[in-house]
Amino acid sequence: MGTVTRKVAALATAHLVVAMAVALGGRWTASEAGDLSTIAVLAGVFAIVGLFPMHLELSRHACTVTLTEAVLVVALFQVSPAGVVLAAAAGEAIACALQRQRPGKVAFNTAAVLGPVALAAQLFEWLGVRDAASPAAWATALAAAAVYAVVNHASTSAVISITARQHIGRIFLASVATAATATVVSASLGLCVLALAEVTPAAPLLVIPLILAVGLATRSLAVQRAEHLRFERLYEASSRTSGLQGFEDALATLAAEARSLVTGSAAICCAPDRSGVWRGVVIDDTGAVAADPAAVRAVRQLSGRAEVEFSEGAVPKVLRPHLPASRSVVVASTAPDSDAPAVLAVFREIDVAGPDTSRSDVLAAFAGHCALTVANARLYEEVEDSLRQQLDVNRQKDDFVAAVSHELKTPLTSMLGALSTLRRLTTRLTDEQRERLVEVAERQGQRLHRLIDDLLTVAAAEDEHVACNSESVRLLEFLGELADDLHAATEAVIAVHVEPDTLIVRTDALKLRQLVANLVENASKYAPGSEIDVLASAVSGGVAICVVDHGPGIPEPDRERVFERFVQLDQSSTRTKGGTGLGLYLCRQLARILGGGLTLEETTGGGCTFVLALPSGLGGVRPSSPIRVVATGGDEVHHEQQEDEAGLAASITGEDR
Amino acid sequence: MSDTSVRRVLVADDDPDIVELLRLNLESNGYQVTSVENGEDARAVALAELPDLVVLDVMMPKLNGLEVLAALKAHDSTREIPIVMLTARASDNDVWEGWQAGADYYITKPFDLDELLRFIGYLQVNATL
Repeated sequence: MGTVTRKVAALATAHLVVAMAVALGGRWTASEAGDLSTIAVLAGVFAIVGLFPMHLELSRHACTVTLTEAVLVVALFQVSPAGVVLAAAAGEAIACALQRQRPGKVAFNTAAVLGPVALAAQLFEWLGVRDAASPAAWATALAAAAVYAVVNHASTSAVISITARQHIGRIFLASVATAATATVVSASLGLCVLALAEVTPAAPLLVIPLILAVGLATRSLAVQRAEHLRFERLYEASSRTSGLQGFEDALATLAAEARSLVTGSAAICCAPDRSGVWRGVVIDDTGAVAADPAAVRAVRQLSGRAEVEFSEGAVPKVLRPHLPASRSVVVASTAPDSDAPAVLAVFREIDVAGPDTSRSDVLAAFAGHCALTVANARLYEEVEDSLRQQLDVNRQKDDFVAAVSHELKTPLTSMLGALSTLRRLTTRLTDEQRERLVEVAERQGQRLHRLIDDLLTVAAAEDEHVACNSESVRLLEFLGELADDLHAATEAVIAVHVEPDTLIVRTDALKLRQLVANLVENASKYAPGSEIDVLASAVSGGVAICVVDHGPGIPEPDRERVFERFVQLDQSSTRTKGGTGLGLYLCRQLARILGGGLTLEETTGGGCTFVLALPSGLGGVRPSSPIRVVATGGDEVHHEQQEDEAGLAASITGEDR
Repeated sequence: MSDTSVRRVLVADDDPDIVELLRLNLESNGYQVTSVENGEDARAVALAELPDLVVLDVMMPKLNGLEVLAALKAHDSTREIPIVMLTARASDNDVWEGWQAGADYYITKPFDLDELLRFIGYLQVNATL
């Protein structure tokens, strides 16, 4: 701020210097100033005119138009240049003081009058035509008024360029048209008054109602036009931001629109994103940038207050550092408890000018639209994500279908080939050959059957929402029965150990049976002749069931691969043993559905140990699959609580049969 | 004129059932069949024995069918030997790859034995022209 003040002071000094120079050059003398009472009256009129300026807002800057030129023109004919300068300065000082401007501002404004008026007055003097009735005089008066206007406008532009840190040329040109028009109208009004005064001294009074009417009409017209423009811009802004965009893009566009809507120099738009975190984007002349959280918080705090338009001073000190520099702030927000809250703040170079709520009204209207756009943007992002996920899933499905069709075609080829060969060569085959072909066809057909079964089970297991029963399973009896059944089917020797004897787990008995049976069958196939141990024990958080064989085992690098679909480590042996490559994958899926996991370790001394870890069922059941809990008849009375991640508690009661 | 009729066939497939079927059918048609079950052996045997026809499965351990195909086509002595590719990979891409790699014929599984024999017959006819 120091530099600005210094520059402004320099400008004021320049004015003084110019006035001095002109005074010296024109050899003004105090005595020739003119009739003091006339000067006093002129000063009074200057003051009155200075009290009723018209504010015109052009883009970001305010333009103040007064009827000073009119009074100036009249004054030129009444008193000497020195007198004109004196009257103008006095009038300005009085007007500023009456408007309760700061002393510094009063001083500056007064000084800023001196330069233009001195130049104008001296020009009039040089041109030397003082006959108020002659058109030549009017022309010279107009010329003087023009000089005044140009210098004054340049001086005002200089001030704005200093405070707004913008190029003076741009500012000068931005409002030069309006200023010129105002000057012409104002000057000719002055000449009108002069001409009327020639008729009779009281005639100028007739002009007063006219001036008042025109002034008021122009003022209200200006206000209406501003309103109209604002709402036009609002509609345009709304339609420009209706397009689907990502969240950040939407915020940036909304901020940009808000900024131009309320003619600010910077704007910020904040809204919560999908995860509920408030984010914002700041737009200024340099572009759009994500707002830091402190700024977002500051703006939200501002929006919580009752005022909607703050002057710089009214913004709480603690918030000011986080917000862009500005003279005033307009804030608007949607209701905080609405589905799509949004907060907009526009920072302006122009001071708050009284109780005019048009800006805040328009911004408030826009804020409603903002909320909608933000909600749209969030939905758009959600849809994009879903689509991406869907495409991923589709691709995985395609991959799976390709793999499956290959797996299915292989046994099919052998089967059809065998049958076709039988047909073609039927007479040329030996009995032995014929026998072999039939056996191939049969075997491959059965393999195909098993494969299809497994695939269907896998497809069902892929389904996230698998219904899972919850029963109390006494592992000793359960595993014992299973071992007996499997021994009858595979002739493998299976030993069951459960520690402690009374170990119980709450799970889906059917799925558990399928899982363990698969593992045991696997062991019997790939470790033929070896004893298979099924061990169950309690571990922290649940139960571990291990299926141990003492066969050839699986080398380290393949221990994870075996769980993948269609992976068969030994191609040739699986052909004779009829494997489908899906067995272990299926087991792992089942384990997942039961809320546990399946891993492979090496048996000490060689062989495979498949470890199935299950939750005991008394704590959390894995919440990713919404499990339908069904109370089945149990032997004990159980009253348990189950909680899932969302903290819902479902209670299960077991009853005596 | 050298006798270029097809008489000795090399069959390479890791599936013993397929090999068996091909052997049965080809031998009954008078061809002499040598079989191998992986790509490395296929390449070695082809280079050593220079069969009149090679039937190659694409999915084989050690060296896959396409690699064997490329190797044989690169070698002067084996370039002229007609090669039939057998595979369950039937996507347009795979077939295109096979043709591009220089296969003389590409049969997808499950294949029609008649088709294979017809092709061999066609080779016979052309060979004697």
